[in-house]
Amino acid sequence: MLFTLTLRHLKIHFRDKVSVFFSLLSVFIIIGLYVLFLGDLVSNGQSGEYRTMMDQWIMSGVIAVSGFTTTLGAYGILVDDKSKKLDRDFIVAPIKPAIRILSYLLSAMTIGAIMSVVTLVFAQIYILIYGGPFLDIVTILKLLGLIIINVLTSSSIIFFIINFIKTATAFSTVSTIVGTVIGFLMGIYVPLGNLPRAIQVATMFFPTSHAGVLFRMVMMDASMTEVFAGAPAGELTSLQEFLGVRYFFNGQVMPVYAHFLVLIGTMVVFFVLSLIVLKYKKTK
Amino acid sequence: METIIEVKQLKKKYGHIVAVDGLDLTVKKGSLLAFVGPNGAGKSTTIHMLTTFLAPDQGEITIAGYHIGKDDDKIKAHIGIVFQDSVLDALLTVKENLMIRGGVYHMKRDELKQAVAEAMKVTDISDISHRRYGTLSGGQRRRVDIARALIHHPHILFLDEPTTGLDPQTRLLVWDTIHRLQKEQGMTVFLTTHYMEEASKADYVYVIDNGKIVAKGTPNELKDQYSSDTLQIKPFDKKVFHQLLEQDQVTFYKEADTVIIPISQGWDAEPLLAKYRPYIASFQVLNGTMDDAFVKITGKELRA
Repeated sequence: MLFTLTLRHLKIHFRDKVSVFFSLLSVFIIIGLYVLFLGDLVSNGQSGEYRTMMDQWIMSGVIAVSGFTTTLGAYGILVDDKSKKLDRDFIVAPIKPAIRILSYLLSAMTIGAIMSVVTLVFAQIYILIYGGPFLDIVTILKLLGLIIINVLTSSSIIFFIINFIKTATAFSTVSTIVGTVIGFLMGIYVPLGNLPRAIQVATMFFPTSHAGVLFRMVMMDASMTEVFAGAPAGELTSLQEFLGVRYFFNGQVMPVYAHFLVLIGTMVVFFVLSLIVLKYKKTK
Repeated sequence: METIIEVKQLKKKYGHIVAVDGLDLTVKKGSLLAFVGPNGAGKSTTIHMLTTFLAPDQGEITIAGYHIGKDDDKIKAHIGIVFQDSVLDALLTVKENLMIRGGVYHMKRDELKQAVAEAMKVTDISDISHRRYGTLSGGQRRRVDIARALIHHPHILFLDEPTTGLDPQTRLLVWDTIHRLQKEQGMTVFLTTHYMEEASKADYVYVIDNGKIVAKGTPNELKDQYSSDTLQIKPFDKKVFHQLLEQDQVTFYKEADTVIIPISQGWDAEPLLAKYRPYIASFQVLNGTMDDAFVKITGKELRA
């Protein structure tokens, strides 16, 4: 039953080719900007290992962002079903409400994961075009794991927000706002170090920006080691801080497990909040 | 005959507005029941409560022996619903839609495939099974909607204004399907409509207005009780004829260039025709219609 419903949502989503394309639009725009001029700008016109490192920095951010935006797009089905009252057919069928809701969550996560992987492929192509290497298998597996965590957390946050959206217009407004702001919140348009401290802090408090950090750490690992081979340790740390590869609080580096804790904690908190909202709605 | 739906003192309020106000209903197994009323009379609200979609404020509903509010899942498995507006997915094919919607009723894959094939056959849509729902005509969609409601072999089929917005020919086609289901499969059919003419095809009719049942009976009973036959005369000279009738104290209504005289049965026209023969250009005797009955009952034309 859960499988049938999830499959239905997936079929509808992927059959609407135009909307699938548009869910990747923000990804295409960002990549386009970097191809046109931002790429040269952030890598100071350098080529070779440094360029590769910066390309990987960009693409880590793009993958992190796409996980959020495509998952958001996938919830369009839930909003559509609600606003067009298509969900009446499921409500009058012997389906438990929890199963019905879970099917939307599952399909959104699946769509988010699939589109993130598609983005990863585009990212790899971009890196290759500018002379970078193929990702090795271990890195790819790590990235896939991160994609899943990123999508789970994003999904949980978005589901909570979706609970308050009833019309397609409201949904598209939220999508537009998120699509615009998310790049900044995740620190991908401009290196974190170029932003005022207040915005840096805001970014650090945005939960899925921690997924961005992890993506960067994994993707840039090899190239960073190479670029900073023989350089003093301080230089590496300051660049990591500048690019948001690691977060620092009062000079203390935030440990890797803490990033995972933030992501998982956020996922749990928003999930519980959603349950409370659903319960409240039901009794009302 | 066995009772399959029993409703007692059903009430539903929306804020201060009373949508359904103490409704009593009985539906016999295998019958075709028409639930008629003007828009806003409470038809949809009632059907929503009968189909577990909406919880009643008060009252009792028993469907196929199960109580609403207690055995909703069992009731859901026994009823099929055709909604007023479509609820299927435009981007999926007819067959995909049916396989998915039928996939939630605990059937094995083979069973489901067979059930879908049967439902498509009954509604005569097998030849469009691979077309996308969104590309179908209104009448085709309606039949797919009905097929959707039939997959799980329900005992009762609810249809909320199944023919609204369809052209006359398609309406007949949909009715043909509904009748076949009732006759061939012994299905109990509960439908709402605001076409009075359609209600006359039902076995039993309930007329609802302002949330209350205002009349009930078989179509013939309603016609006998609430409408009369009429003699419609087109006179040579309206003025002269009107005066004549007034002199003779005959009750009549004027409608454009005809004069309408209510009569209790067709033969009563004979003496009138004989008497006024020189003044009559043409005439016709008409049986009372459900439309007349409806206007009489609710005191208003159908707010279609």
